[in-house]
Amino acid sequence: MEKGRARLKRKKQRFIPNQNNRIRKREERGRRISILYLLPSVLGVLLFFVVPFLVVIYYSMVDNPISREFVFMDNFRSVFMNAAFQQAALNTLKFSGVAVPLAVFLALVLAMMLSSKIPFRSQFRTFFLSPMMVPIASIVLIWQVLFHYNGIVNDFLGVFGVHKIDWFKSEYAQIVIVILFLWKTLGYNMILFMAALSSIPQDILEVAVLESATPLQTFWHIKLRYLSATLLFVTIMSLINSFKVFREIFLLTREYPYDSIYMLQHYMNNMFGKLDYQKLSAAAIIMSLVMVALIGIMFLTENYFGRDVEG
Amino acid sequence: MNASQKKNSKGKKYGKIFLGLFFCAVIAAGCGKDGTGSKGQTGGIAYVSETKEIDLRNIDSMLERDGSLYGIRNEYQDTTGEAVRSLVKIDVLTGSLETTPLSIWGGEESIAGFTWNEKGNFVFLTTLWQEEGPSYSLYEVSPEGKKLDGKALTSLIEEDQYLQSMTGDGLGNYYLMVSDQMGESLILVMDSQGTVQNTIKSTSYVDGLICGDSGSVYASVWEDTGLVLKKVNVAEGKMGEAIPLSNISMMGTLLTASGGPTGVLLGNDKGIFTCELETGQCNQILNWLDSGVNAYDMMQFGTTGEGAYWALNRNPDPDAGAGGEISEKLEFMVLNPVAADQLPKKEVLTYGTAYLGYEARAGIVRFNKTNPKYKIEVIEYMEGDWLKWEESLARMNAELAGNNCPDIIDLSGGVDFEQAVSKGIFADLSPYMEKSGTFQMEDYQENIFNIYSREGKLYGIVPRFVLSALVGSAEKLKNIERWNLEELLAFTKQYPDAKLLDGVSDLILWMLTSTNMDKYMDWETGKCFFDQKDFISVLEYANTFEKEIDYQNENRIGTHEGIQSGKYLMMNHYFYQVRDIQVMKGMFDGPVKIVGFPVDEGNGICVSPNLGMGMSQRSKNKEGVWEFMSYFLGDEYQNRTEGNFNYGLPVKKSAIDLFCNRAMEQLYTTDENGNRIEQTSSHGYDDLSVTIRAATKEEVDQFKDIINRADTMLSESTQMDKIIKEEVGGYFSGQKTVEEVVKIIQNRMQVYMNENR
Repeated sequence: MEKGRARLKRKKQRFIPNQNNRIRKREERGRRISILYLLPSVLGVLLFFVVPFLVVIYYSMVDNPISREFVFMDNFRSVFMNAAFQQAALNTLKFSGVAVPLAVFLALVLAMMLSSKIPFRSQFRTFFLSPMMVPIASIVLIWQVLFHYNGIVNDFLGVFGVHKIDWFKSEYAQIVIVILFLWKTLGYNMILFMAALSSIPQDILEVAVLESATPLQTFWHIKLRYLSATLLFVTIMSLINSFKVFREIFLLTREYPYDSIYMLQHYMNNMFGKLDYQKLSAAAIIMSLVMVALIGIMFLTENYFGRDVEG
Repeated sequence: MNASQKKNSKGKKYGKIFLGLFFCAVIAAGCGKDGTGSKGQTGGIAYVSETKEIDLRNIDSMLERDGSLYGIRNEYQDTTGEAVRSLVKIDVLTGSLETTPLSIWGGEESIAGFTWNEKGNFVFLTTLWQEEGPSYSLYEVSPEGKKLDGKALTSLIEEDQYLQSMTGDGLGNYYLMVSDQMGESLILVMDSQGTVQNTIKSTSYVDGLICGDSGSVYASVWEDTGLVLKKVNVAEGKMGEAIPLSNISMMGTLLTASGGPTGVLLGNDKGIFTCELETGQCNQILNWLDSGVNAYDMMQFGTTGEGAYWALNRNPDPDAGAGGEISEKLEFMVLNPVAADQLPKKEVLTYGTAYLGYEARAGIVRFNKTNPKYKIEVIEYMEGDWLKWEESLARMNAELAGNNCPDIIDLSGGVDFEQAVSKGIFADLSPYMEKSGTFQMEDYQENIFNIYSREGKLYGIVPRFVLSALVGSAEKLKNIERWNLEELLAFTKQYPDAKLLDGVSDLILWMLTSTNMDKYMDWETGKCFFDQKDFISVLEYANTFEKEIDYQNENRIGTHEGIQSGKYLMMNHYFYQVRDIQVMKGMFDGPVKIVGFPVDEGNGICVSPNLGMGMSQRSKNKEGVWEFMSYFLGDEYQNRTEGNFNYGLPVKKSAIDLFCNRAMEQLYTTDENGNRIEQTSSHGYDDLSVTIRAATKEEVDQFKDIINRADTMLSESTQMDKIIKEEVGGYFSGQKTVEEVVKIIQNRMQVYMNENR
């Protein structure tokens, strides 16, 4: 018996290093396979994101793409000092500052309304989602038909004796673009909020009702907490989309619009048209830094408000 | 460090090396190929052209049949005053020529097209222009030139239609192309007996008919999207679905021939293409430029049946007379295949252009044939059609600042010169001129060179150019040598019943503002003044002109009549040659004075390059580039005066003298009685016909004077012009007040200015 135990012990002692080796080998093999599987994605990210970004940084620090003399921060300084860039930045900030909160707030209100039992709920939902299916060119066409100098809105106002307004080339231009942005964005945001609202645990809401909580208290202390992650996502998406509104403005008013709707991307697009790659790169880096900062602040805010929410 | 750590460290090291190599590879790939580098010969077949000396005078079009070419020669007999016609047969392989007299029609009956039928006879479509209208006939003629049959076709064609051309499918069917004044087309399909089998209508313009193998016929039709093919379905009497052509430029005339792997060959000024008619897929098999052919006006081509091609090309006649008169010469050539690697290896220089014009094309062909070291390849950005002009220019301008910048940059259209100079795209050419020793600046029109110089550096040469200026009667303009905008407007106020010139509001506004933008934009302070009185008064003045020309209005007064009746004070004219002075004198019925466009400084006489080029700062073969460019400044090129495609003025003073002396040379001819008479030509404009004679010294002096005073670059449409044009429409159409419009212009221009300061 003793002999048998001793033999088994010796066998175990011989076996353990072999087993460890095998585990190590298996781990190593697994690591290699995972690297192999990850490689296409890593290459893709490097090729299409990292390298272009490095090239943009390089271009932002040379005098021009031909002589390529290193000028360090001169391009950034020149972009910062440029009156058009300042105006574009201010316009973009103003637009995002107004349009994004409106897009989030109105979408939340709509989602709350459509989550409650109101008549024609389904029809309303379809109605608000329909702009998502319309291509950009058609959106632009619709807006031109509505807000052109000879468009429907002016014709309608003319009935009441209002003098024609050149909507895209007047102080009203940014208001028209905000309406366009909301029309386009509300449906998508609303769907996201509706999904989030439906995932709030019903038992908590029922407990709140039993505890005599008012609807406002329920909304503020429960629903909003559970919506914080969605709120962050919707805000980020709306912010990104607010920067993309350039597409519609460009199609409506080309390279040099009325000053109130001249956005940062107009500046960058025009720099590209003029082959001024160095200023374009500098402006792009500034814009991306601002975006990173804004999104960072939003994450911190979400972390703070959503910290006690489970899941 | 244990073994495992060593292994990890080694792994990290390899990882770093891999990443480093990867980055290098990606950056190298991202930077793209350097357009200035050498390119080796690609494998495959190249074609070498061989011009055959054949007398092709007075031959219009040709027909290929069984390895021979047939053409109709129309010769005007001085002695009888009649046209004599003959059938010419050329052996494609040997280039030998046979002539058979054709005396079937009278001289006034012209040939609209010819083909052959299944019996091996020729079929001719003729037009006879008479007072009551044209009459059309179809004749069957034997190869020996004897008339076999004749049919009248006039009853098939309606009054507002005209018979354009004819194609045969070789099986005895003829396709007659008929067009009307509205641009719609009709195809009449007839059998060999002349019976109409069917009529096929097309709402779009039919450009030509292509016969595929097995007797199928396709029509090339101009649609909104460009040129497409449509199968002609005779049985159903309709056209098939549109087949867009791919890989072939739609910029010029589309030529067709039978042969090649798919049975059909298409050709244009770029080369020869095989084409799958079912799919529209085309593939280039021959490049004219690489084969040493200037195909700017290629007429016809085909296969010799032995892997080679023949081509009939039109070029200016170098033996043409003086004064830039139009004269062309047909040349017949055979393009023989050779292995590409047998051709001499040369370093490649790239020539970037929006669209390759005749002048540059001829220079490139000559350079490639004569230069032992370098070869020029053309990058033509305008590959598609004219509808894509803006896209092509955007691509070209983007490439100029990138790594694919061509070695030589064409300045005759599409390049924003100021922008390119500010980006450092052009190399300074002054050191090359100085170093050459043969080109002295004082031998050239320095004022023209100055237009393309900035801060003492020469960034472009313009070997051929045209001038644009305003012309008026010498009496009315006697005290005016140059003017600014205020002076021009004050001049017009002296003649309240007259307009400045025959033009629409948009054009007048552009003319008055394009050379005066600095008046309304202070780049120093960054302020715009479009909402001030000065600009408003220009707008109001432009608004007094027609908004668009009504060409249908028969009562509209033309330019000549308007000038004669005092309705128009001046005319904007482009000066190509000395005879333009005579044309203007005819227009104003007396001596004329030529002044520039209104400017605050300088003369305002504008230069537009007929041929202009700059050298890329990035070129690695600058010496080679200069070798190419210098040809255009040398006497061989500058002293050329033959007309047609290469109109424009030389930039070398001695060549201008030669040009003017030839214009002063009196040429003579003999009349029908054998008397020596002065040779003249005529120039028509509206209802005016001016007899052009040898120029007088005064005319030459006046012509040289405007060349010497030229100092402004003719601006292409700029962003500023675009903004103004977009906004003034509302005012010109009466929808907006001038104040509303200038407020918007001021706002948008301010954005433009802020961005560009």
